[in-house]
Amino acid sequence: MDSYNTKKTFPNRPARVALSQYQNNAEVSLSPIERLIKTYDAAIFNLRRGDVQKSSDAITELVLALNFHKSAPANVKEIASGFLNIYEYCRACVRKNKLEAAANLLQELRDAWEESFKRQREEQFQA
Amino acid sequence: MNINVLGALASANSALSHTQLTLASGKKVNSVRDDQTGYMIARRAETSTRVNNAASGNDADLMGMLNVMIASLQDMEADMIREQELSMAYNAGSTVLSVDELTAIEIEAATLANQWNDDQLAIAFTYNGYLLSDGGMDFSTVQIGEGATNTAGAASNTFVGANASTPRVWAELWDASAIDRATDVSAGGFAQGTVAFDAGAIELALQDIRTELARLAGWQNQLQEQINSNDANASSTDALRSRWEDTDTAAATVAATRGAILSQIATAQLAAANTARSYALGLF
Repeated sequence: MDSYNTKKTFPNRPARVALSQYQNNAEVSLSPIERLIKTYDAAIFNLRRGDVQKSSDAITELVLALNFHKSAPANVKEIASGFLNIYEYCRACVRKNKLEAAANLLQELRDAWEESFKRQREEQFQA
Repeated sequence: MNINVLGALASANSALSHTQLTLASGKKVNSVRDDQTGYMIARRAETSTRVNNAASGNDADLMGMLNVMIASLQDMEADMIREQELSMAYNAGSTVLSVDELTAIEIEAATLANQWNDDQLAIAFTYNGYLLSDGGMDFSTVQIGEGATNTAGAASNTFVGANASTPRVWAELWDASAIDRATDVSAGGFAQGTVAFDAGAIELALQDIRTELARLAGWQNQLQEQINSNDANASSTDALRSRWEDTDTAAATVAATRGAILSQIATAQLAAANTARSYALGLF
């Protein structure tokens, strides 16, 4: 009987394990900004696909990445507050089913991160 | 750092300072340079809103003054109705009432009239320092709506008509009743027959007072309409100004944050990428 119970054992099947390991390795090898951009991509992808649950999870990831630690400098917290406001606004958009509006806002930030990241890389190469 | 990067950074800094100003002021048009047409329209709409609000303030002042005038004239009307009752009692009782009783009626009538003597009229009925009873109030030049010519006395307003924006002299209103307002009612100074009741004159005086009350109440109605109109104008012009001028906060916050990402990458990274979590790929 156990051999028919594939659903239970599915997460442990070799292909799944390999995929999971690949994902972990791929993400671990990313820089923080690249990971952040990936999270934006996940949010935007799911918003445009209409997957409310996954887009909300991705926005939650973005919120969890914010730095409100007590030792953080004031200007860092100030910028983090700006991000938080936007993420909360996106959440509100998702609740009101304005998925495209939320996707557009996040896209704008994602593109800024990418541009900034590229610029940073250029500077590193030139240094 | 190459020249392109420096240029991009300068541009990002400039954009950032502009969006920060936008967010701080709550306005997307902060100077003529931002949007010439928008600035002009927003300023004109703001002026219109303020003028309409000021005109409504004038109207409310006039309303308050008219309230006091109406309340006082209603007192005069009540006194005149009492005079009418006394007149009827006096005329009906002139053959059956004793001299003392007739004298008492006359004294009450004269005492009532005395409340409206010149001294009383000169001091008791004022609004904000202005005497209401002498007919000296002239509302014709009071600006009741937007536009320099939109005054209470303007032909386009229903306040018009001969002397329509000037209240009546109250002494004249009372004097139509032919009951003297300056009779001496002190003990010993009053003789029977001093007050001559004229039922027709009292009737006329009552009519005059009621006509004046109706006129004042009519002004109030017109003023209320004017206030409603001013308020509607003020709110619609304020909405117009807001459409041109006020910030879409979400868009401005995104612009400001985007500016921070571009010009302060290290700080922005500390603020928004402070995590070791790696779940993103699992979300696709």
